[in-house]
Amino acid sequence: MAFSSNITGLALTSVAISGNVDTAMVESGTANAVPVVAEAYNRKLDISVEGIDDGYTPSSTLTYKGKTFLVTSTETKRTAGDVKKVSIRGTAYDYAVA
Amino acid sequence: MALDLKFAESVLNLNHRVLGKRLKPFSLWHALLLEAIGSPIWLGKGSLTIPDLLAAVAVCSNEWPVFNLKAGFMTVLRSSCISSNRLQVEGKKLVAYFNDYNAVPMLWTDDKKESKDKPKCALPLSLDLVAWLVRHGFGESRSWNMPIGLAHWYYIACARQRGGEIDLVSPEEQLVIDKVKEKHAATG
Repeated sequence: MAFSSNITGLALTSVAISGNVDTAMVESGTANAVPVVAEAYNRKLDISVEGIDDGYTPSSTLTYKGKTFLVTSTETKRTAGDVKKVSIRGTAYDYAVA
Repeated sequence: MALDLKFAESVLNLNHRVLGKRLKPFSLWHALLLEAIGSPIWLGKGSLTIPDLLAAVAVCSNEWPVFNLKAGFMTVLRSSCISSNRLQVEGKKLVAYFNDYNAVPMLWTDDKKESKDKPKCALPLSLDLVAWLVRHGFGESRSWNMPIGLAHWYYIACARQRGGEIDLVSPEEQLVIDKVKEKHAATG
């Protein structure tokens, strides 16, 4: 299956994705009891996208190559001719987080 | 990294003649004078007339600190029998001259930051540029007479070397901007 590497309304100039694993320690929950060994991890991807505005509509999510990222920040800059550059940062976890 | 074509254009200039008069490299001084006299061809307002063209040619064929609105005898003579079509041609030659020299760097400006940081009363841009160039060792005369695009590039380069946060439009971004513009032009 081919995934689109476009973001609607944005002519991309740069895309960077980095990944890491978020881990969590879970407390036992019972006093004076040895906790059950519990480890949890969630793969996390951070995306940073820049592009020239070509009818981009701000949204709370962005999809790149089939992966949906939750948008954490959007910045807009302008240059001559009312051209806009949009910079978006987003995060995606493998599993939903509360 | 690709060469910035705007920068290349700011340093590689042609010789320009309008109404047979050879023009000096278009400078901050010329821009200031044309703005001061409300030159329609520089400001891009109104239709071109022979007196407007003569005034612009007179301004641009001198250098700082000369302010002369009177064209030479031969220039006036050439313009006295000019047809409407010829006027348009000479006007286009003058615009081509402006565009050749006025290749200033394109910058990204942050909408929010710009409104927050904007001083209450900004200095005139030409004064700001000349003062900065003089401070960095260019003489007053050289600063006023330097090709206008080059003056802007020096200003930006000095500011960046001094730690200024300057976000230039990169050549790669310029290509994408051109493609988006072409697409919009094609689709109307």
